[in-house]
Amino acid sequence: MTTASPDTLTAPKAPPPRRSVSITMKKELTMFLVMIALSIITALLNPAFLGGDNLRNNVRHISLISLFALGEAIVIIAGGIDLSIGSVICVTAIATSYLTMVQGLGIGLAVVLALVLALIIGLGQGALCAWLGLQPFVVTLGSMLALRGVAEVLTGGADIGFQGRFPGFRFLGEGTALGLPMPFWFALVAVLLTTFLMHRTLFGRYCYAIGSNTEAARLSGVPVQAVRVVTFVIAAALSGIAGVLYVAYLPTSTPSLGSAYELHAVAAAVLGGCSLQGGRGSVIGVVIGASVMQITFNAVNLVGHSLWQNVVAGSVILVAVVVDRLFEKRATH
Amino acid sequence: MSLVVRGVEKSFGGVRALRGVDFEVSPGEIVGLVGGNGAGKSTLMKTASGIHLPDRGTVEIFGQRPSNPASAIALGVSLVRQELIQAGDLDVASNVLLGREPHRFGIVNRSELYRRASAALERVGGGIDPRATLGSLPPAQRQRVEIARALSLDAKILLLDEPTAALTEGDAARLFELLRTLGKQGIGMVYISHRLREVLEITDRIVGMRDGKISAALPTKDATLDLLFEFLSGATEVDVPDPPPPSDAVLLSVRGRVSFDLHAGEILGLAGLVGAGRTSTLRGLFGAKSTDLEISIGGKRQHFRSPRDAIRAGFALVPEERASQGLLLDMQIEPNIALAKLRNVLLEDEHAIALPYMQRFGIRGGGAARTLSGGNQQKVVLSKWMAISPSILLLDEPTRGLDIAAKRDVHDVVRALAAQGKGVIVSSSEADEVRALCHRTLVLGQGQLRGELPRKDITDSNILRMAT
Repeated sequence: MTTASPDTLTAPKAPPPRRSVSITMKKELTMFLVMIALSIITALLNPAFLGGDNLRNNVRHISLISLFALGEAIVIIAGGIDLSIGSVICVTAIATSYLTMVQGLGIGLAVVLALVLALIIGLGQGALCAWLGLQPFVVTLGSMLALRGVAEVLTGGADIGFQGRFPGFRFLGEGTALGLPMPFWFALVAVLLTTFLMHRTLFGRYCYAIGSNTEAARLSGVPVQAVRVVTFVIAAALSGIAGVLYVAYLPTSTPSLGSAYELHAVAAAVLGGCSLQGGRGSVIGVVIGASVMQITFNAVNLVGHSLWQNVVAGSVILVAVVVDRLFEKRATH
Repeated sequence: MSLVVRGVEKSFGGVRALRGVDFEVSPGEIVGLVGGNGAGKSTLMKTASGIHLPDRGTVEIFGQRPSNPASAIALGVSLVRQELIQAGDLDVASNVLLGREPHRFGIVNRSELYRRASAALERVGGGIDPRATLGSLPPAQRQRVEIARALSLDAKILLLDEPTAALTEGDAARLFELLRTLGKQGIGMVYISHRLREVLEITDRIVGMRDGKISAALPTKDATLDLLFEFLSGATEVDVPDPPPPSDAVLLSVRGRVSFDLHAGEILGLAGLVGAGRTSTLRGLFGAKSTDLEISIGGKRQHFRSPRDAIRAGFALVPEERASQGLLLDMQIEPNIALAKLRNVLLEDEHAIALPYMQRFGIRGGGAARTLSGGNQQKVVLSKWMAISPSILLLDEPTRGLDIAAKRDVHDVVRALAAQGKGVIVSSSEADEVRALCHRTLVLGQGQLRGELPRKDITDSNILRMAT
C-alpha cells in the first residue's frame, strides 16, 4: 500500500478483482445447472435425445436463437426492449427469397440488400426512441405489426421456396463444418464479438450504465441517445443474420416465420440473467438461456407431446424466475 | 407509554445493527434521536414500525407486538420517510388515502375521497389543495401530505426520519409549529435529524445512538449544541478559518437572469429558498436542461446541448439527488467512479482509476454502490469528478442527509479543490454550510438574482431578507 495517501482511513484488506463487472455470475451458473439437469432428464426419458442428428439439430437451433437473443439482450441491458425481432427475421428471410425468386437478383446481392434493410429498420426504430423520446415498447410493437404485414403483402400470404436453387447459400443453413452446423459458427463469431463488445469496450460499459440509471449516466457525460440507437441497430442486424440463415436452412420463407421469436428472445435473455429494468445480464447467460429454451422445446417433442411445447416452455420460464427470486430473497435476509 | 422497545437486537448478515436497545415514547412527547450514519437510528425506526422484526427483544405498541408494517400502522405507529416515496402523478387526496380509497364494488367514491382527504389535510394546515397533482407541490407541502396520510391512519406515534432535509429554514419553522400542535393533541413523535440545532429546538428529550446501542439520554433542557457536537463527532466545524483568497482570473462568466463571474480558486454560494431556481440554474450551466443564461468560458460563448458538452468544457456537477441522479446504484463502486473518466473505445482498467479515491476516502471496492452509507455514496460521486479534474465544480446540496463527519469530509474536498485553483459553486439550503465554505454567496429568488453577500454577512436572516 505504498500508494496510499496519508489520510487513508482504512486501506482495502484484499485487493478487489482488477476487472470489475456490474453483475455476478450466480444466475448464469444456476441456469447452466438447470440446462444440464434438463438434458439428463430428457436423455433418460428418451435416449434419442443423444442421437447425433438430434444433437446437431439442437445446436443449430440454439445457435439461431442465440443470434437474435443476443441482440435483444443488448437492447434490454441498455434499458430498452425490442419486440420487432421476430418480424425482422421474417422480413429479411422473405426479402432474400423474394429478391431472388421473384425479382431475379443474385443471391449475394439479395442477402446484402436484406441485411441493409434490417439495419435501416434498426436505425429507424432507434431514432424514434432516442430522438423523439418514444417508448421502445410502443415503437417496436408498431414495427412488429407493420413488418409482419409487409411480409404478408410481399408474398401474397404464400411461401416462397428456393426450388432447389442456390445450394451454396443453403449450405450456410443446412450444412456442417467440422461436424457442427454452419449456424453454430456464425453464432460463435457473434458470441465472441458481443462478449468483447459488452464486457471489454466503453460502448458495453455505457449500455450497463444507461440501463442501471439513465439520468445518472447522462449527467456523467454518457451519450445516452447515440448508445441507444446503436443497440437497436445491433439487435436488428443480428436478427437479420438469423433471418437469412433461417431461409437458407428451411429453405423457404413464409410470412409466419419468426412469429413470437421476439418473446423467445426476451425469455432467453431473462433466463440468462438479464433484468427487464436494464443494467444486468451477460452474453454467456443469454447463450445458456437460449439453450434452456431449445432443449425444453426438444424435450417436449421427444417425449411425444409436441402440442405441449409452449405450455412447458412457459412453465420453465415461470419456474426459473420464481426459483431465482426465492434464492435472492433468502440471500438478502 | 405508547411505544416500548426492550432489549432489541437485529443483525443483517454479519453486521449487528442493533445490539440490545431500550427505547420508549410517551403520548405527546417529542424524542430526538441522534447519532452518526450507521449508528442504527434508521434500523431502530424500521424495527419500531414493523418493517424489520427483531432477532431478540420486543417491540410493543400500546402493549401489542406488530408483526409487519400493516399491523404497526393499525396499532398506531407511522413512519414518515426520509426520501419522500409517493405517487407523484396522482393527486393529493389519492395519496393521502392510497390503498384505503372509499369505494363500492371497486368503484372509487370520489366525493367521499376528497371529503376524507380534506379532513386529514386540515389537521396539517398549509392550505393544500386535495386536487393538486402531488408531484407539482414543493417538498414542504409533500411532507405535510405524508403527515396527513399518517394522521388519517389514526397514527398515535409519528417516526420522522430527517423531516427537514429537503426543507428551507422557513418551512422547517412552520413544520415545528405543526409538530408542537400535534404534540398537544397527544401524538408522540421520534425526531431523527443531523441538524442538531433543530433537535435542540423541537424535542423534549434526546437519545443518542452509537454502534447500535443507546449511548446517551438526557432531557433537552440539559443539552447544549457543544455537548451534542462532542457526542456525535468529537469535533466541531464552528470555527473555520477563511479560505485563501481567489485569484483575479475569471473562469466562468454568466449573464442573464443570474449574472456573475466565477474566479479561479473561488467558492461561490448559491443560497435561497426551495424553488428559488438554484437547482435549475446549476442544471442549466451543466447542459442538463435548456437555459437562457449566457455562459462564457475564457471570454468564449458556450452552448451546451448536453452534460457531455459541459463536461468537455471542464464542468462537473454533483447533483441534488444522489440515488436517482448521481449513482449507478446496482453497479460496483469502481465503474461508478470511473464512468466520467472513460474515454477509450476499449474499456480501461476501472479499478486502477478508482483506487486512489477509494483509498483517500477509505471506501472498500467490490460492492454495489447501493450498499454504501449516504456519506460514502456522496464521496463516490465526488471521486467520479475528481478523476477527470474539472476546472469548474458545481455542487447541489452536497451534504443533504449526511452526518457531521461525512459532511466535514465533503467540505474538505471542496476546499482542497478550490485551493488548487478550481472554481466551485455550492448550492445549499443550509446557511451554516454556505457560511462555512464560501467566499461569497449569491441569493436567488424566483429564478432571479436578488443580491450578493460577502462571507462575513452570510446568515439565515440576511439570506431570508434578500430572498423574499
